[in-house]
Amino acid sequence: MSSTKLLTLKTSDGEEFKLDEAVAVKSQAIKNMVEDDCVSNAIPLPNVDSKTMTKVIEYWKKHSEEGVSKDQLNDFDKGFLEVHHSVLYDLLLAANYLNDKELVDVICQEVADRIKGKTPEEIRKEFDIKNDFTPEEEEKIRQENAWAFD
Amino acid sequence: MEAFHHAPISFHFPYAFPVPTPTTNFLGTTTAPNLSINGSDTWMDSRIWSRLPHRLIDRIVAFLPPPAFFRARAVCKRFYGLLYSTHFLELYLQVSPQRHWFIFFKQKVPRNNIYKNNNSTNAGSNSVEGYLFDPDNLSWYGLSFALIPQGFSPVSSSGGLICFVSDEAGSKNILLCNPLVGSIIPLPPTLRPRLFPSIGLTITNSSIDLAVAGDDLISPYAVKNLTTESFHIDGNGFYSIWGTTSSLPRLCSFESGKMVHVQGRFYCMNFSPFSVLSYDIGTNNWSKIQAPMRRFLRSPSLVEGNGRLVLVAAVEKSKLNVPRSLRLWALQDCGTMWVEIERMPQQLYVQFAELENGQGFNCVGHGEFVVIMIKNNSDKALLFDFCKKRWLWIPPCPFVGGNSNVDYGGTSNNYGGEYGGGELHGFGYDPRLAAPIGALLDQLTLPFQSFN
Repeated sequence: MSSTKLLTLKTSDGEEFKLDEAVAVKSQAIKNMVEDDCVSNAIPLPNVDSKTMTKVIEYWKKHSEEGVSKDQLNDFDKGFLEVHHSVLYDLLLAANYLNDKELVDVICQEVADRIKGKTPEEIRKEFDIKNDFTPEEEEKIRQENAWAFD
Repeated sequence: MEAFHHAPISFHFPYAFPVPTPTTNFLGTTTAPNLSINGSDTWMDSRIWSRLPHRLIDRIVAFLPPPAFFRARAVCKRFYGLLYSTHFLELYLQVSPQRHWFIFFKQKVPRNNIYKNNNSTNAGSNSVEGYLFDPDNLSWYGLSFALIPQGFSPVSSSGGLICFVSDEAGSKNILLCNPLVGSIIPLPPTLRPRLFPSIGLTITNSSIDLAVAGDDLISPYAVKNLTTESFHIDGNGFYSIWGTTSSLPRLCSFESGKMVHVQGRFYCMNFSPFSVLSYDIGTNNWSKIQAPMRRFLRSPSLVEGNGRLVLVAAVEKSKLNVPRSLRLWALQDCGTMWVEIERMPQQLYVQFAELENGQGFNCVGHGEFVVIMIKNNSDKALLFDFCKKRWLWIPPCPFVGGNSNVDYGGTSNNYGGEYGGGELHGFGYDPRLAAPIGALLDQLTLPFQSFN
């Protein structure tokens, strides 16, 4: 029997969101709590702020709607992800924390698309990764995979 | 190999060429419009992304298309090692999307030459080169197949692997190769002697099916299309190593070529008159399917299109009031009826026909894409996208033409050396970092030829 139960989620900045349980269980983390029957009070989400939670709920609601075609969902996702990278970053961490694999993958694909044209040095700068290759080693790697650098 | 200079596109055709302006570092064009969302540069703030846990960074890397992945290997030692990490490859196999790309190779000399290829003294390049084509970004990449020994030609591709078959007449040696990681898996050789059989290949995560058909050598200098051998191995422990041979339909005459795999069957084009031969992999049986408008077809090819068998051909009717056209038909579920699903816009066809000039064309399909290459002129190829209903001229492969004038000596012919006049042939190819069936094949403990 489908439940029309409402869950309350409380974000790190104290805001409360009321949401259908059927939608909220897109988060595996919330689903586990529901199954363990510890959702009588508001579910605290100390790692997610209200701004990000609003976006996540927007995604969940759209992906729970009936009668939406795959093309419409794709269009929605495209628009949904057209955000500043700081918003994207918060979304990714929130989706990871909430354990919503589908949303995590959609965001990872978007980040991959944003970095796929970048040089190794640009990627290092963006993810703050230290270059632990010697110049000779790095040159050897470029030769080894020359086809991708051409 | 020459560096890839993204040539200026100067086609004077009315069809829009929606290629984004190449970036100056020509590292493959990106189509994401949101890179400039904050108005200024495309740099992402490192203070933000640096705090991502490794697990999430790995997941992002797993979504990168192969050229970007291999460039990312130069970022740091951890990224470099991902290719060898079982954990990463498992993640990769789970999340990496299927890519409907293509790979093309230069055509070798006329296949009717059954003399041994004795060009060991030539100064030209000995190793096979393949040209990877990304239809989403219209980009080309050159892949080297340095580990493939001489005397092998590419015949098919599936599951991220490319199948090479020995050229020499006789029992055929077969190699499955992943060019991205340079791995080669030999298969046991076929049993019956053949010249240039047609090969059908389909590989999934847990099975391989191969069919080798026709060109049976009935005497040292005569061939006839008689039999088919099949190879099967799967994760459930079933295997059949060239154990089944089935007879081809009488009087079939298919040109040696690839067979197209669609839903458990291999299909190939049969000539004079045109029909389609269908091989059921499960039952090892052949049947014939009538081709649509068979008396009026020119240059028919079979391609896989979005899970269906599609026939692509020019239609010429002798009656003047029927315009010539290039059409695509899809085979319906019943397996015998065809429905026309697409026709090249007439204006485009007029230009195409002018360029093609009756020489014919070859087609390959993969997913929603069909590539139509004009014979003897690989500079001119069209890309059709089933989903977007769009026809585009493909930028010419930068690795071909201009550098095929090396004197290969040996056989004399009208073509520009061993590798024809720059004519390309190819297959749909999904570039993968790993193919799970490699492990399956390791279980086959059979003696194989070492190729030194």
